[in-house]
Amino acid sequence: MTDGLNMQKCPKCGKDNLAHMTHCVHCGTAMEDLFHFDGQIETPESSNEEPIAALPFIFDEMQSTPQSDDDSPSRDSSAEKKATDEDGSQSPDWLERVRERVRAEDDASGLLTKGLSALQERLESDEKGDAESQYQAWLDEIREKAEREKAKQAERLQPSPLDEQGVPEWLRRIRALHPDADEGVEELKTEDEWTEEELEELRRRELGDDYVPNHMNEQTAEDDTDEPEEDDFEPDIEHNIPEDYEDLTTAEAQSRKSKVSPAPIDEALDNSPEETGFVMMGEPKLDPDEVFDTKAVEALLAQSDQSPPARKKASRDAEKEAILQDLVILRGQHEKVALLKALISEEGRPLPSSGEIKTKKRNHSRLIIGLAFILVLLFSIIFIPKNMSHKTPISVPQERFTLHLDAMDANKSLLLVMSYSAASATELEALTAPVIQALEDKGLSWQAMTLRMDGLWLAESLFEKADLKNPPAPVFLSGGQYAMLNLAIKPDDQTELEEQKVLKEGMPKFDDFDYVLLVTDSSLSVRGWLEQVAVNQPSINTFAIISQKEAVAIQPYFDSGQILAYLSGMQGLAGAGSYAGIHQSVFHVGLILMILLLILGFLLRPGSDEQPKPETGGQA
Amino acid sequence: MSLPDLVLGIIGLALTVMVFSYLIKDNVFFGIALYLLVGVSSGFATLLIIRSVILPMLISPLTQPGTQAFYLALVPLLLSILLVLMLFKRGSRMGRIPLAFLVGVMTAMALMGISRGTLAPQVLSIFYWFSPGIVAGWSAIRWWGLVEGIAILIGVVAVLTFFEDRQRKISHKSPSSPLLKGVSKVGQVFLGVTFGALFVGILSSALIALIGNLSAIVDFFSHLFAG
Repeated sequence: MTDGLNMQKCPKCGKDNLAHMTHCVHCGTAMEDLFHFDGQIETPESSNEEPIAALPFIFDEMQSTPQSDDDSPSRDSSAEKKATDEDGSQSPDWLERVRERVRAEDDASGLLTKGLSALQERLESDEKGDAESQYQAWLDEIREKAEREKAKQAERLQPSPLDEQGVPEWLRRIRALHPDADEGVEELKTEDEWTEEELEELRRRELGDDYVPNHMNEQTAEDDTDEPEEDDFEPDIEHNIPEDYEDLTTAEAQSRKSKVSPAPIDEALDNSPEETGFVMMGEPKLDPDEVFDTKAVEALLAQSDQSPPARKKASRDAEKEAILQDLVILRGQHEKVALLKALISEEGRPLPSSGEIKTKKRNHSRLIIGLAFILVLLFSIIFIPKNMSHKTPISVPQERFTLHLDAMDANKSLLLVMSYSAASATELEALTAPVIQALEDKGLSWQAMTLRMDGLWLAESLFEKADLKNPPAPVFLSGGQYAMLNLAIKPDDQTELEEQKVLKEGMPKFDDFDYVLLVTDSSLSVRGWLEQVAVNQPSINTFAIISQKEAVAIQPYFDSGQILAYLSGMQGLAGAGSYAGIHQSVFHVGLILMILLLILGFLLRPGSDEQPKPETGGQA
Repeated sequence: MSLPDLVLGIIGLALTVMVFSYLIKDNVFFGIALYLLVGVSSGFATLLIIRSVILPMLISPLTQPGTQAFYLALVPLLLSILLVLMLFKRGSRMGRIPLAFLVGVMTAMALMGISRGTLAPQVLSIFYWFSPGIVAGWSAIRWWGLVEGIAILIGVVAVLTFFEDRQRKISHKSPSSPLLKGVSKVGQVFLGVTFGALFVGILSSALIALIGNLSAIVDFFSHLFAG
C-alpha cells in the first residue's frame, strides 16, 4: 500500500518516513521541510507557524476592509501597514506582497480571498492527511512485525532434526523442561545426552526471568497441596501466555491452567517466539476465545512415540472428535432455536387460568347412564315374556329370501361361506341358525367354508345353536379373495399341472354348488365374492346374511340383482324368534332408550364434544 | 350345570364385567381383557397358519425334491425370505420385491373385479329401468320402478358433483357454478341419509350384541340357581 507514496528520510536516523510525517516514526525527531509551498521563502523554525496562526485574522481583515468603508481604503491600508510594521519583521515577505497587491488592486481582493481560503483548506487537508499517514504507518509497522513473526514461526515449524531415536529436537526440549511428565519421558531423559547443567541452562535461556530452579519448583509443588497430583504432570503452558498476562495473580493463573486468556493484538505480536522460547505444536496463533486443553499436550507427547501412520490416524480422530463436538454444539443451538421459536409462538396467548389447573371434577354421568341402561335391559330380559308376539314389517330382501328358501329343491347343494368376527356372532348366529335348520329339514346338501381363522370355532357355536346332529366340518380357506379367485377360475384340465392342484386339495369346488350363502359382518366380503367369484361362476345364485351395520352397503347389489336376497338385523329375525335367542321386545326397549339418550345428549350438552375452533383473528 | 359350564360361565362373566368396567374409566381390568383377546387370537391364528398354510403348501412340497411341486414351492419360499429381510435395515430393499409383487397382483385383481363385478353391473342396473325395451314390455308402467331409477341416477350424479365441488375447494380452484353448487347440496343430502342409515345399523348391531350377552348372563344365573 505504501509503494505509491512519497517517502522522506529522517534527518537524524536516516530511515524512510512518509512524505507528510511531522516526526520520524523511528526516532521521534521532528521532520523539517514539511510545509513547503511554491514561492515560499525559507524562514526560521520560529516563524514557521506564525503565518498559519495569523491567517484567520488576515482573512477577516481582508474581508471586512472593502465592506466597512469603501471611501477610505488608503487610510485603512496605511493603518494596516502600520500595524503590520508594528508587529515587526515576523510577517513573511510573501504575505507582505499579498497585502501590497491587495492595496494596489482593490478589485482583486475577492480573488485573493478565494486564494487564501484555498490555502487554508489545503493546510487543513494536510493536517488530516498527516494523521491518516501516521495511522497508516503504524499499521504498516504492525504488519511488518507480523510478517517477521510468521516467517520465524515458519522456520520453527520446519522439521526439526531428529536424534538417534527419531525424537525431534522440539520434543526433547519439551521433555527436558518437564522431566516428571511421564515414564516415557523419564526414560528418554535418562538416555538423553543432556546433562543437568545443560538442562538448567536451557530452561534459563528459554524462560528468561521467569525461570525458577528445579528444586524451587519441587518446593512449590509440595506447598501446593490443593492441586491434584495429575496437574503436576501437566505441561506448563504459561510460556504461551503474553507477558502482560503473566502479571496476573499466580492463583488465578494456576486455577486456569487449562485456559489461555486473550491478549491485545499488539502485545500478542510483540510476544515473539524469541521471548517465549517455543510455541505449541500446530498452534502458531493463539485464539483469544479458544480453550486450550492440557490433555492435548499429553496427546502430543503420546503421538510423538507413535509411527507416522498412527500419528495421522490419531490426528484424524482428533479432527473427527472436534467435528462431533461442533455437531453437538449445533444440535444444542438447534434445540435452543426450537425452544425460542416455541416461546415466540406462545407469545400473546393467554396463560391457563387457575380453573384449568385445578383437577378436573370426575364426571360420573357416563357411568350412571351406562349402568342405568344396562339395568333397564336386564329387567326387560327378565320380566318381559319371550314368546310375546310382534308384528314386525318384513323388508323386501327378507321376503325374497323366504321365497327362495322355500323354493330350494332337495337335490340342490349349497355352500355356506362364513366371514365374521366374534363380536357379530350373536346377531349372525341368530339369523343363520334358523336357515341352516330349514336346509337340514329340506334335506339339502351343504358344506361350510370360512375365510377367517376364528371362523372354525365360531362355526361350532353356530352349529350348536342350530341344533345339528352331524354338521359338516368347516374348511378354512386361507388367502381370502385371492384364494376364492383361484377356486373360481375354471382351469383347463389339459394345461393345469397335477402339482398345482395341491392348492385346491380338500377345498370345495364351486362348480358343485347351486347356491352360495354368505354369512358375514362386512360388506367387503360380499363385494369380494361378487367381484372375484360370481363373475367367474355365473351359474351360482348368491344369498347373504349380513350384520345390520353393513346392510346398507350391499343394498345396491340386491337392487342390481347380483344378490338374490339377504337377511340382516332384527327385521331378518321376524318370524324366527324361536331360534334367535334374542328378545325382540328387549331390542325395542333398548332402541327407545338409545333414541332418548341421543336426544338428551343433543339437548343437555350441546357442543361439549366439539373440538375448539382455532382462533382466526389472532392476537395483537 | 356341569362343572366345565360353571367355570366357563364364571370366566365369561368376569371378562364381561372387566370389559364393562371401561364405563368407569380406562383401567387395568379392561386392558387385561383386551390383551387376553388379542393374545389368544394371535396364538390361535399362528397355529392355524402353520397347520393350514405353511405345512401343506410350503414344507410338504419341499420334502419332495425333484418334483415340480418342489420347484414351485421355491418361489414362495424365496419371497418369504425376502419379506423376512425387511426386519433388518440392510435387507429392507430386498423386502420390497415380494411387497411389489403382492401390490401388483392386488391392484390387478381389484381393477378387474371392480370393473366386472361392481361398476358394470351397477351402471347396467340403472340403465335397466330406463330401457325402452323393458318399459315397452311391461303391461303397465311401473311408476315406482321409474321413480326409484330416477332417484338412484340423481343420487349418483349429485354425490359425484359434491365430491368434485369439494375437491375444487381443497385445491383452491375457481368456484363452481351455482348449478353445480345446488347439485352438490343435493349430493350432501344423499350422503347424510346414507351415513344416518349406517349409524342406525351400527347402533342396532351393538344393541343386538349387548342384548345377546346380557341374555347369556341371565341364562347362566338362572341355570345356576335352578341347579
